[in-house]
Amino acid sequence: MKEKNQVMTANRLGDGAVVYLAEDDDWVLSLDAAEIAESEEEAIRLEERAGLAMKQQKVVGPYLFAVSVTGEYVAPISQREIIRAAGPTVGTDLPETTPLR
Amino acid sequence: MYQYNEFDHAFLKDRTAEFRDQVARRLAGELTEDEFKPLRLMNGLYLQLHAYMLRVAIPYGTLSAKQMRQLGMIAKRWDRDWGHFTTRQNIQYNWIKLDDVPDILDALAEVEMHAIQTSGNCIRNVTADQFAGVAADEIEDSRVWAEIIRQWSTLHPEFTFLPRKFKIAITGSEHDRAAVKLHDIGLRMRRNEAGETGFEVIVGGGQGRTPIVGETIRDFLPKQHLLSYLEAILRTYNLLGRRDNLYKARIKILVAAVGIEKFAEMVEEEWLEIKDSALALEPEQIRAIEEHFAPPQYETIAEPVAGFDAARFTDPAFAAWTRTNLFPHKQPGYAVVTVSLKPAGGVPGDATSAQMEALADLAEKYSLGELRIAHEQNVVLPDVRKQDLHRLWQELGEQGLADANIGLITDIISCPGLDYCNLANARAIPIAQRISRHFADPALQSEIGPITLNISGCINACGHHHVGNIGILGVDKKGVEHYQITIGGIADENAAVGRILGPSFPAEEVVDAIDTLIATFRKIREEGETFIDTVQRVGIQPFKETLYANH
Amino acid sequence: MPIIKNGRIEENVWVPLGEEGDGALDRATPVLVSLGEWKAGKQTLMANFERRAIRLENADAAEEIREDLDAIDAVILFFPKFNDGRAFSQARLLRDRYGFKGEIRATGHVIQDQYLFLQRCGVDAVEVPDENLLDAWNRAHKRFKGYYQPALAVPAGPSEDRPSDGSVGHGGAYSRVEPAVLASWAY
Repeated sequence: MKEKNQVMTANRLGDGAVVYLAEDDDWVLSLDAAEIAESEEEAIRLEERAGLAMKQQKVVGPYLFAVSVTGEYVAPISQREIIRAAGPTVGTDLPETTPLR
Repeated sequence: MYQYNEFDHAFLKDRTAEFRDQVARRLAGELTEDEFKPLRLMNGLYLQLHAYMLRVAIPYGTLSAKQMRQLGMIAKRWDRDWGHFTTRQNIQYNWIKLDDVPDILDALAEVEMHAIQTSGNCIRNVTADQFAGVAADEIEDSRVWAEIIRQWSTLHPEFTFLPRKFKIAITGSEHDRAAVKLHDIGLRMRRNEAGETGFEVIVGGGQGRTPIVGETIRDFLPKQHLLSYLEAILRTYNLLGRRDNLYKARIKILVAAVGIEKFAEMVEEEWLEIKDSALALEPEQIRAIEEHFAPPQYETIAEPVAGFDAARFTDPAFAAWTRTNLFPHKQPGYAVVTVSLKPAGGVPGDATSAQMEALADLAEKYSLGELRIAHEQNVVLPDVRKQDLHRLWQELGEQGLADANIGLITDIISCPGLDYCNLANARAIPIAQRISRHFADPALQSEIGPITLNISGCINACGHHHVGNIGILGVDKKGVEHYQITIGGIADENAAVGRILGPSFPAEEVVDAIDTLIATFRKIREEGETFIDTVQRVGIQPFKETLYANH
Repeated sequence: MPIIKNGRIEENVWVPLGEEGDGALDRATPVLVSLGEWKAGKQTLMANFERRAIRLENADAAEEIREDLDAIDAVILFFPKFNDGRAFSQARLLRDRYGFKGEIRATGHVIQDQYLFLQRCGVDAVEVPDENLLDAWNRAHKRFKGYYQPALAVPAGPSEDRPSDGSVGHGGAYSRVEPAVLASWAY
């Protein structure tokens, strides 16, 4: 697992959906397909591309967040980004013993 | 209820057209997000974690069956089949697409509703006692005044770009069910020695980062001067409120900085200049609004109502519900019913579109076509004949809406928290779900007795944690959700801010912590004491000791 | 930058006094001064120039020029950010309370969605970044046909399309309207 891996995210302008910046300036719904910046330089390039997408009315409020990469598996580190990626955790049909995390 | 006239309809149409235009300009890139944001916020449109969120105004929490049905339809057609009723008596939709918003606003306008000023640095949707007009203990129907304020504040040319949001609440009863002391302006109807009704004006209350109980700047304001007085307060605030720091921009900070006496002086000075202007309300103007809220044609019903009593004596579950979910109506033979949106393990304030539709039907069948939303995130059927209560309760049961827990520990107020909200530091709903499951046993809840338990996912305090008898505040501790617990908060006329018991707990320990507090209370309570009575008698120390005994 | 006033584009005429002081400008030049400059040299400015405008910053109290308004031709209000709404109250006080008859201009970051609010607070001229925006601003001018609260009348637009007969439309609370605000409620 490498530290400092970052992914660029934003909300899509038209429907507000959570999207991630992928290759070819695509904004995708799945974190799996997102491009991962492994260095500061790469992160800066993601920021530049996101700034452009904002100007083109594609996305709103882009920012970078930290992910952990284990083999092929990409996961957000913060609770907020876990919830953004996987959806709310408030299912009312959960059994009583379901842990919060 | 207030019925729109031609002007109101035309106005709303213009407004919706304006927003349609603004959305189009945003999508075309003519408006930047920075420019668009305040405009969409003034139409209740936020960008949250997963999507846009639309907050629709339910002015002073009053709505008709037709409006409730439309809210359900909107949930079904443009959202994911449910909506969330909030502590400001509004409804929020969590999964809205920007492109759909103009159509949604049109659908709302059809039933005389809108999302104007449910957000942004303007005068927000005014809130009121959910039992206004029907409560046995009220001085006067506060909805008349809430409606007058709604109209005056709607697109007010001068007060649409204030330093910060501005909330007004009003109550018409001695007992305050609208938390007026925790608003930027709180209005309390009073009767003076001459028997005239007017307002006690309270300013500078609020929760959030700096919780403050508002103070009175005028004991008695004659009714006809309400708007000029509000305008004087707002103008003083608009010119002098801080704009350099988001966290110090509310009126409470200005009032604290200049002192309540000096602030009152400035307002009075400004008011004298405008008190006899066009803002002074003539008796016929007031009457014109009062007519909209004229009491319905009630039947003459003798008490006691035999069928009602018989059902109570034979059906213990119904009897339990009548003990918690009814409030005395001013008309004999009628009751005010609070429908709980707090099932054990449920999301406080959520209702599915099917439930909204059912509530609309039940309001038509049993409550003269009217409903209310309470700031505690429940729904009220204000005008139910006592002989209909048993049937109503059975039909509510079919929709999962017959929980008998109003005012009890599972009647939890909770903000959406980190599951939905961009501002949150921690989740609130899952904590509420676990607590309500833990205390689900009706006998246990009844034994604990009246208590308020409020949860906020961040310091902005949308879940009113500061004024819960037990308050839970979500905080972020090095990237992990933690919860700080307060006790002693009160939201009514004796408003008080709760005191922090000690270091915060990780999510897994919150239910245990609440359980410890309740166990402590049950051990030390004296005969007949509620939780807050005990806290006031013994202070926080005994609770603190048991809570942190093992830490 | 161009100015929109009465539905048309105008050019700015006001020239800032500048660092050289009043010696550098001739008497006929319409001069623009800050509140500080006005307070420091009121008598000289009145003697040396025929037309005078004052620029008020957001934090300036309009009250400070209340007694001098007869000697002032225009007040320029400045929006550092469009959502800093103090200028709305400044304009309202100048026009409504102090009875100022000259031009009140909004400059800085002002957007068309604020146009009606500005006018109803007494602003009658706005500075815009581009004269091509005239149509959009004129459309914004006609956005609403009536209002809920008494404020100042919106000046007629270029096409005089605002009926001002007795057909008063209004929100429920107001059945009686002062003549001064009648026009703002007409629809």
